[in-house]
Amino acid sequence: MIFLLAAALMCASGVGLLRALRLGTGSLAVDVPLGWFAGMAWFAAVTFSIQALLGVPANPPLAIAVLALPLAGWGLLRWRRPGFASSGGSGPPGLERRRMPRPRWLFAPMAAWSIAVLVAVALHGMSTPTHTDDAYRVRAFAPVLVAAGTWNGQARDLIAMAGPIPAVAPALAWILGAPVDPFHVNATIVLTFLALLVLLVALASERGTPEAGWGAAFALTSIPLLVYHVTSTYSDAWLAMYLGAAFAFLVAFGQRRDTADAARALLLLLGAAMVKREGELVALPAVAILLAQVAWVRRAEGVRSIFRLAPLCAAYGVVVAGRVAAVGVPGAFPFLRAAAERTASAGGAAATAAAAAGPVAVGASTSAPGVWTIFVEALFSDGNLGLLWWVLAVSVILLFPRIRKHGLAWSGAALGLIFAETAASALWLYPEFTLNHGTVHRSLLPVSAAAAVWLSALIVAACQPESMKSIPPGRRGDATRSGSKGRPRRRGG
Amino acid sequence: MLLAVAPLSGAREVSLREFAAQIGSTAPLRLAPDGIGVDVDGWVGLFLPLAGAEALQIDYRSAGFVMLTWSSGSGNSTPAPHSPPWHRQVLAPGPGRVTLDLRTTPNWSVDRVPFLFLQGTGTVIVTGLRARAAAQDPVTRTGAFDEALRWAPVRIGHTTINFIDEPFWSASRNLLLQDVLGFAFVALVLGGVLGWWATKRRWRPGPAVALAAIVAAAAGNLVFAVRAAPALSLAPSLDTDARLRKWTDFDAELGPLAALARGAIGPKERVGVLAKPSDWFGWETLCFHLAPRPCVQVVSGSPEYSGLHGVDRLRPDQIDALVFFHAEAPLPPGFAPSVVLDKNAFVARRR
Repeated sequence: MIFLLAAALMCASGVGLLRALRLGTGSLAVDVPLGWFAGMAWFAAVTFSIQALLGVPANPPLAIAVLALPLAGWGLLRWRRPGFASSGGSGPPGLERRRMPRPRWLFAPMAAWSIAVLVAVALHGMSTPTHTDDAYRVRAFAPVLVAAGTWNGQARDLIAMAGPIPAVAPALAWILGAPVDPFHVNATIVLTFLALLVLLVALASERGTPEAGWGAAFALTSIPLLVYHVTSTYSDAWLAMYLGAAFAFLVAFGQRRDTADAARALLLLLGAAMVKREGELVALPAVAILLAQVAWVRRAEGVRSIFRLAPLCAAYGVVVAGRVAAVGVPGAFPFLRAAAERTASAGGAAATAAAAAGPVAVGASTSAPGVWTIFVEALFSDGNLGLLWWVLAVSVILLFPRIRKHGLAWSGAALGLIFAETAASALWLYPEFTLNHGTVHRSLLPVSAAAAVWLSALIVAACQPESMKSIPPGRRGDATRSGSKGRPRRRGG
Repeated sequence: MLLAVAPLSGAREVSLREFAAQIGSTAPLRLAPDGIGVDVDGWVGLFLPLAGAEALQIDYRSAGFVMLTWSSGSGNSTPAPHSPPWHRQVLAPGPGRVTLDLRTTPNWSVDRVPFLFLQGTGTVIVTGLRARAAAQDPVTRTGAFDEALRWAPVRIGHTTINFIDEPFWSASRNLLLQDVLGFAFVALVLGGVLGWWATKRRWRPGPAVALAAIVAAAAGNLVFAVRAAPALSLAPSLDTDARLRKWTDFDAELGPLAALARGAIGPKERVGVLAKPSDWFGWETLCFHLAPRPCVQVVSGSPEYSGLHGVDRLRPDQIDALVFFHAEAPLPPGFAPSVVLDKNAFVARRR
């Protein structure tokens, strides 16, 4: 019960943050799950930064103040600016809300499967301490340290390894005085899964394509390893869920070109960056693509379009500074160090070549598959990711013309970059963890979640009749369109 | 659960009295009035001379905390009992029945004999044993083997967080289910696209991709649901200690001991865990569930002990309570058991 109270506080704070930043969509069905994601990111970022930069450990007054700040800010803005409540806070214009996907005979079983998986995950995740299949989990132990205020060298290292969100968000109830119960970590992840599915369905319904939302939910719940991870306390699922939610808004921005969607996507990507040490690396390509997309789509506005997103990026800089203060530069960016060592080491290059060469060169066992074989099998054959990558590969080939036509090119590029990064990690940076099956499967979970959301949007777009176009008219956006009203239209433009 | 207690079809009854002398065991067996008994104090390995058996059904009476792991072996060397997929079940105290499918265990073949591995503290009396031999006909046997692997329950183990055991369409031909479904998906898409083209003279692959993807994914989901269902625990409990007492997934004693220790040790007390030096799982699990109490692994002779990830460090004289779990070393001087689960699992305090 205390957990649910803490979760409600976190969610309310997140909704307040969205409203204060004018990122609310005007629909509670979207804003509440989005608020859960935003609230966790806000609470974790501020609490972690205050501890790391100012040395103030998490405590009840601080937690209450951090959670209340967005709500207070929203209230203040409403009071000082009478028009604030009605400005922003809505989806792009011209959208027809539609709740029921069509055809129902097809989507009813898909919805039933998604809900059945959600129920099974919630019950199993809440009834078994699965985090103990590894004895203890860094990501389950870190929140205990945060709640206890432990901040010695080893604790700092462990909290940085977990990332601010996994380390801080599940600890809220304990910080407020509840006894430590590791099951709060399970419950937080299960609740995030619920929030993700609700967000995907509600957002797509609000935007008139409930098929894309239910399709994404079905695709996500058809990834067996992701489903198992959600019942445990490993953070790959957490990273996958933040990335999946971010891609819902990346896709929406590509299709509707509403800058608020870009800002929502950025907020979620910065949340993903605060999960595990690799979260930042996973989110970085998507952030870069998003900023480039905003600059291109809104180029008529000049640099102002980017300036609107700058405060969010700057706020994340504080979190990075906090991590550097906690564990130093080498500890804060371990992948850069690993990549530099890999590049500099001639032996490393030789080992990579040997690993990539396959069975004969890998080692003593002549029958052992090489890294490429294992990586390809992880994508297509061994069932951990379901059929997702089969469908994605075929869809990209057959539906390629639809990608650009329906505004999915930029988000597709972001997906491609994240996949390339994941492949580079599995094949080049850490081939040993691919050869021993240690991390190759779960490292593919974040990009798979993003792929599920993107793929669903692509397939639904491809099933629309040719006459239905998703992108708003005018390649230069609404500003250009409003300026050309009443003028003769160029045919074929 | 129902399948586990239902009669094993096609099985023959094994006479325990005649059979007892032929069992290879790492601990002494004794003939009880109603069966074969064994005392478990740590672990016991049993080779059953039933070469060619593909399934067993065991009636038992158990006391204490004992987990049964089953696999197959050559009879000459002890197989690694925890290799994935790890087949195991806690033997609940009192009478019970377990049905063991050997075909889904690692490296099973008709030449191998069943291997049972009992772990924990307690007594097990086998009161009945039935065995089903694999079919003599190789074609029938291979077909049954493939079917067993296709629907083999997911076994959650220490490596499940990294990967789920791959499902086979035909294990004998090393044909994975996902490859079959993947090619079926491609065939469905091509059929749909070409069919649309033939009838409508239009290139419209979207609906074909969508329908084929849903059909193929649904087939994969169905198999996964059947395989995952036995591993699900769908009865959530709001009480932390009750959940821990119920949790015996990886060890019969650890969950109940963790719950016992949480209740017996105060929130400010400093804890040491004394376990086997090679047992990483035991002390880490106990310290995790006792957090945020300072908790360390007690290593005999060490001037300072270290906890999870090295966060907590305590000297021997700083420890208020000890949790003893199957340790080889004796309790440090001055400590005596205070709250006992069994002789290998208890909480000790300074006298």
